[in-house]
Amino acid sequence: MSRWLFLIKFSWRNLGRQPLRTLIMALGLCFGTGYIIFALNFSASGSKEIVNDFLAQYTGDHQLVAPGYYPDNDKKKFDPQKTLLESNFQNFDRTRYTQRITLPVFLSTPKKTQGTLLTGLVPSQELRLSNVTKALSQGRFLSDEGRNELLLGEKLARKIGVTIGGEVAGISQGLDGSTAVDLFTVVGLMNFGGGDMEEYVAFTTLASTQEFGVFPQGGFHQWVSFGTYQSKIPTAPEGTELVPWDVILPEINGSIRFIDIFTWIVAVIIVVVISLGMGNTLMITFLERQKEFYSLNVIGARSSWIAVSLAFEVLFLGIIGIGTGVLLGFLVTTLFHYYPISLKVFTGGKAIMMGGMAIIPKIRLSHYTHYYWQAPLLVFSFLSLSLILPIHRIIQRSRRAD
Amino acid sequence: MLIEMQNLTKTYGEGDQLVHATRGVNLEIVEGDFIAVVGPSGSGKTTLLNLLAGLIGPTSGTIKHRSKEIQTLSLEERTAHRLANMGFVFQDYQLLPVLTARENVELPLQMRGEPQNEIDQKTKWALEQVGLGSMMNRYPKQLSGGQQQRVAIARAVAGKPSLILADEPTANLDSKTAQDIIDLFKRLNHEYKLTFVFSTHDPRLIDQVKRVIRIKDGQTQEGKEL
Repeated sequence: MSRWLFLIKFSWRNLGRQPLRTLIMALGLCFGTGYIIFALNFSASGSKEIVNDFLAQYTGDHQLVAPGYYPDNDKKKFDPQKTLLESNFQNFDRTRYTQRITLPVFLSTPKKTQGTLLTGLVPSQELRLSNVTKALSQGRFLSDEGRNELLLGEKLARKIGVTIGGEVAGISQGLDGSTAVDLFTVVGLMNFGGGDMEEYVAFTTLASTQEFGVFPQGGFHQWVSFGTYQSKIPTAPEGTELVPWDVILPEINGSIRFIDIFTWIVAVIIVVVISLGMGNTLMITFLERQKEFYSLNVIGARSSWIAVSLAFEVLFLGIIGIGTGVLLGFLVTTLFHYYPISLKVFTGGKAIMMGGMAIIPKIRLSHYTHYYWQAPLLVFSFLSLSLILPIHRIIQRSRRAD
Repeated sequence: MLIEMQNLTKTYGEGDQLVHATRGVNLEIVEGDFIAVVGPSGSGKTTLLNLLAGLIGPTSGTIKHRSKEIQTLSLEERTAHRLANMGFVFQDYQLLPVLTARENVELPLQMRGEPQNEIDQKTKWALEQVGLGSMMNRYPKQLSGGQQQRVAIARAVAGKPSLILADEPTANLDSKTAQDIIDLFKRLNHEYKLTFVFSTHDPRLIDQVKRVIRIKDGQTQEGKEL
């Protein structure tokens, strides 16, 4: 035991022999580790905020649909005939859900006819759950009692030449096979930042859509949930299919995974660069003490004794540097939790387009516990690797009687 | 017999560059010997000490330490052998600057894995022998050259090794301090029967040793007369 204590004392004191160099190495580890933790937290928090922002506007966290509503597992296609019935959801928890209908229609004015997706929703429930009203730029939102009220994207409204109060004819096929034709009155315009949502989506009430599309017995297409992002997804009720957002929007999920992987790649590159620098500095430091290692060998220090003493030095350096780095990462993340980073800083004031919607989130950083052990482990692993060559070299040289 | 060298040759290089550091050296050292190895620079004194310590292996011949052949041991085995049986004093002391005098003396004992109470006893004894019992908590930079060499001697003798090798131990010291060091060697040799072999180029020390090994061009000759 005393032998180990002696070795630990010896290694610890050796750190103080070149205080400036030790400080620089510890700072390298500190800033490297701190940056990696911050970057990973930033990436994960940013993804979460962007997705939250996006999902809360329209898509929702998950949807309950009738089996076969999304045929062939292609979430870009849907079968309007596959409906759910209100009567089957008497005891259903509606605190996080709202009903929707999505119907392909032609919207026509004397100027132009445009194919679009008409979304029927329950205005009061939508106001309570989703952020779709954030996109309202002119006029008012739909009312529960209103009949054939219509919200249009600004771009779509310009395209078909209609303003608030104007009338638009809707043409579609009813679920019974009949031709559905009705007049809608524009009550508001939406600004989604100029994407597809603004050009190809229109909103009206669920009741108006049911009547227009001849939905039998109060049928509808989806229960859309909000506010359960990444939390436990409930089991789909009998006779329904549960579809999470990442299945509906695989490209967005893919982007997030790419950002996550990219962040890790950058983290590994940073660690490799730090390790190379660290390995080089350690090599120089050890070679400067070459004569001392030789003397140690002469008085009887085995290679393992010398190797362990050097490993302890680097261990202490790692504990100090990486430990303070974890603290730095924690503090910086906490700082940007209370002072969120606006993505405008990175986009030059422009919005990020996702799924046809413009997203301008403020990223409020969160602490992701697993990064607080993954990042230090990564740095320490590479630091350990960087130690192999210098130790090997010094062991070889310590045996040389020159 | 403590050490027995038979026909020991060490060469460096090859072909035209071949250098004989030692040539067919035969040498016997008994317990309690007090030997000075003398000779001009480059004559092979350090090589002879390195061979004795097992730091280098001979090109041919054998070297035995208490009948155990050293040259057949691996590098790690030779290191372990030195730790268990030898003490070493360097010309430039080679104390570890981050350790106090006491800790420097402790070092080989700690490497041996001896119990702490024995280490404490041996360290105290060694430092008292060299007259530094009151300075044991000083760092090397707080000691003079002579004091540092005394610490190095304490480190070499603390484990009571069967052989203490010293490579030009007085070369960096003034004549009075050098004489003090030799007196210390003599006393430890006399009182504790410790075996010393040291190299020197100082002719004044020749009369103070029991045996003189002269080395020239790698060949040895015993005797105090030139």
